[in-house]
Amino acid sequence: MLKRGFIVLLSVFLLLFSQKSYSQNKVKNVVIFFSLGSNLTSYQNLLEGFKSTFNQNTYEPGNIIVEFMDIGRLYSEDHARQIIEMYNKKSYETNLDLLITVGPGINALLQKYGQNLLKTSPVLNLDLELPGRISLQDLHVKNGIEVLAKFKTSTTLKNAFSLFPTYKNVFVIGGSSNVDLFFMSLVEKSKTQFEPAYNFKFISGITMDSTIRLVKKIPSNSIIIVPNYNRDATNMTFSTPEALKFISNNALAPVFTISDVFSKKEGGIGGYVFSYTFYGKEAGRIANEMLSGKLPKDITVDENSLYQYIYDWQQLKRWKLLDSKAIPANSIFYNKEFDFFAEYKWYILAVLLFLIMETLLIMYLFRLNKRQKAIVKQMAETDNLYRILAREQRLMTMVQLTASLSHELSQPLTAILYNTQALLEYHKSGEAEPGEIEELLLKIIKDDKRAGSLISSVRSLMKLEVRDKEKVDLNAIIQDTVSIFDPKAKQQRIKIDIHLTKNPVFVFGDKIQLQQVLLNLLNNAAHAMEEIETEKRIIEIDQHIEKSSVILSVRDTGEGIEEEVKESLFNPFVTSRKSGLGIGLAVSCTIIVNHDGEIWASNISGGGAEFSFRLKIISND
Amino acid sequence: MTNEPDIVFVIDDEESVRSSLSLFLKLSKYNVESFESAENYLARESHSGAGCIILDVNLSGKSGLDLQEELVNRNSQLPIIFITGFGNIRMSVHALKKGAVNYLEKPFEKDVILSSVSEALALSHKLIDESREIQKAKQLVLKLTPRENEILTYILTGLLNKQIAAELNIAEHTVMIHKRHICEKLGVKSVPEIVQIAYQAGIQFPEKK
Repeated sequence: MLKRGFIVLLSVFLLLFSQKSYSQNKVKNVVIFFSLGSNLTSYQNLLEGFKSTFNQNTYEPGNIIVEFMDIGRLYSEDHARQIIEMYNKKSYETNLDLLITVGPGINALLQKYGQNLLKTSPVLNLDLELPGRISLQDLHVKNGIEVLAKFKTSTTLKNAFSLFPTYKNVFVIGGSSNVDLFFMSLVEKSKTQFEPAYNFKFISGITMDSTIRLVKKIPSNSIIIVPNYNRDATNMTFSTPEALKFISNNALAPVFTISDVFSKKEGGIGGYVFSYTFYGKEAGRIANEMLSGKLPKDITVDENSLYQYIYDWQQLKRWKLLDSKAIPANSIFYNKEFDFFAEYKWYILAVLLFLIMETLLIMYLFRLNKRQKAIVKQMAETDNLYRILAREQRLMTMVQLTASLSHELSQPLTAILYNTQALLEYHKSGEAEPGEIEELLLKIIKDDKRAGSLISSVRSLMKLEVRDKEKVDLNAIIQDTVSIFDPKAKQQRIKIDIHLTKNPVFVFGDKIQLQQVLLNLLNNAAHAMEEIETEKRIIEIDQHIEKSSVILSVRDTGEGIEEEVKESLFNPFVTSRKSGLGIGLAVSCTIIVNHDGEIWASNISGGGAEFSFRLKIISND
Repeated sequence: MTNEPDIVFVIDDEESVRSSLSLFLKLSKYNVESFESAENYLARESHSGAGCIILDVNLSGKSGLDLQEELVNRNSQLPIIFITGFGNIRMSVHALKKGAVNYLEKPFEKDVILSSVSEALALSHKLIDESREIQKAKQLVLKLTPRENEILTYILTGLLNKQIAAELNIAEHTVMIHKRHICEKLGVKSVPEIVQIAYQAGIQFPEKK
């Protein structure tokens, strides 16, 4: 149920979406008629601006068809008619969605030939306010907007004057065409504001050659204004930028114009100008709104955006005006010098930051590496030190062993020597008591055996490491050892308590060696209790399983371990007994360590000592 | 003054060494007494005659070196021969400084122990003789009257009869009589002999004025 509902919802959504995409695919056709030729900078700027905003932020994609009518030099009326007729036809066949007319005279042309175009399309007219201009109203266009270029020449002049505050002579130079004269008249209208402080001279109606010659004579502390220059007195065609270039190349004084046509050429400082680029931008924006179906009365025109402070960077530089306070902060600069740092400040900062961070990272890694090396080195040193210490220990062990051995051996050897000397004396004198000789001989044998057993015990200590291990039952070993020890225990009236698990506890080891350890511990325990009352002599053997290991403890009720020997208990030759060599615990320790176990000792609080060792249990299979 | 025989005391806690060494020394015609510990030896009535001690350094309980110290404190004059199973230079130097006559490492040759014992006994005799001389001299000096003692002091400073007489404000002849009495009492005939006995008796020699 829910699933079906979801599918229906999805289909509806898809349907809506496909309709939307259908309307998107429907391209709107826009025709722009320019009255003059395509070489005009003003038109180029306008078109550029238009393209930058047209189709932006809109779902109505438009196809721009641009037509430069060049009516000023129209070769024949037929030609114009043919072109417009073509669009007349097209407007029936295809969908002409917007007609944009630009420049003086184009409306008049449409009045003559373009009735169909005007009827079917909304019209956007961009025009100068020339006298005798045909307005959209004259063309009976209902759905149309006019955006007229009104030049604010007085502000333009004001800005130019503030750039050169000491220059008071103003030369206004223009061409001879109607448009040129129109622009001249715009400047002329605003000159009254500046007179008499400023001295204006208007020059037009002469050839370009004369103009250039004249310009050369203009004093450098003058301001030259070139509002427009389409034709000279001999009807030779120029463009305003061309004229600006010629004039400014020959003039000693700064040259200004009133629009942004100086954009890509040399000449013209700029200032507060009418911007064709922004004119185009505004037109593009309005076109978007018109295509989206907005009515003219609902569309507002931002006339202020058409006027901008625009300067030519190179010219400002030439006139040392880059720091002039007359240049507002939000000005636009053409031909701006490529200032790498200013332009890419953030990129550079980002790269620098990245480099710094990378450097820090590398440094960090380097230090890490260094530290690691130091640690490795230290470990090696520690290891080395450990080895040296181990060697020292072995050496000390050897020294101690030698000392102990020589001491222990010296006793029987001395005894043997003097018993033998005594025998020799008896032999010489023949005065021996009966049985005395035999007694001495037996003593010699006993001492010799003692010396031999000392040697074999040392040998056994040295041989410890080379024994084969197997799986053995620790409980069985304990039982066997206790039975070996039993006669001695009985003799000393020692009671033995054994607490073992019922099941066998298997460890990996050498049965004889483990028996030796246990026997050592039992002997030590027995010895420790020699001095105490017989009733108190108890040895307790305790077994404790902990995780995967078994701990066996042998406790006695003797006097405990002396503080002095506690530290070195498991070192060889440490003994509290007169008779022992002191290697029993050392041997035990070596055996347990060789079994990967641990051995330790402690005193029991109630008296007596506890010796324990831990071995790993192996599983019962 | 008793005439006890020379005794060699063997003190070692190693039974085998003690008995074998004792037997050997007995067979070498020495009077031998053996002890298994320093305490046992000290418990014995002190021996006033000549003798020597063969002493094991590593005794259980009071060690050999401890016993040596104790004996020095008790004015025992018996020379000590140390024996040890495993000694070291420090211990031997210590023992010898304290007056031990020898320091032997086990097992030592019989000739070494025999010569050490005879040396020690000779030393013991010498010490006993010396102490007897001293006793004799002391007893002789005790016979002198206070006046004679006074004059003896002057004699020891090397003054002439005339000078002594001047010092004591008596006649020179009187000094000579005193001197003759001193000679008679000490059993000597000359001033150098008087000085020797005074020295043996331990009289402090006064400084010459």
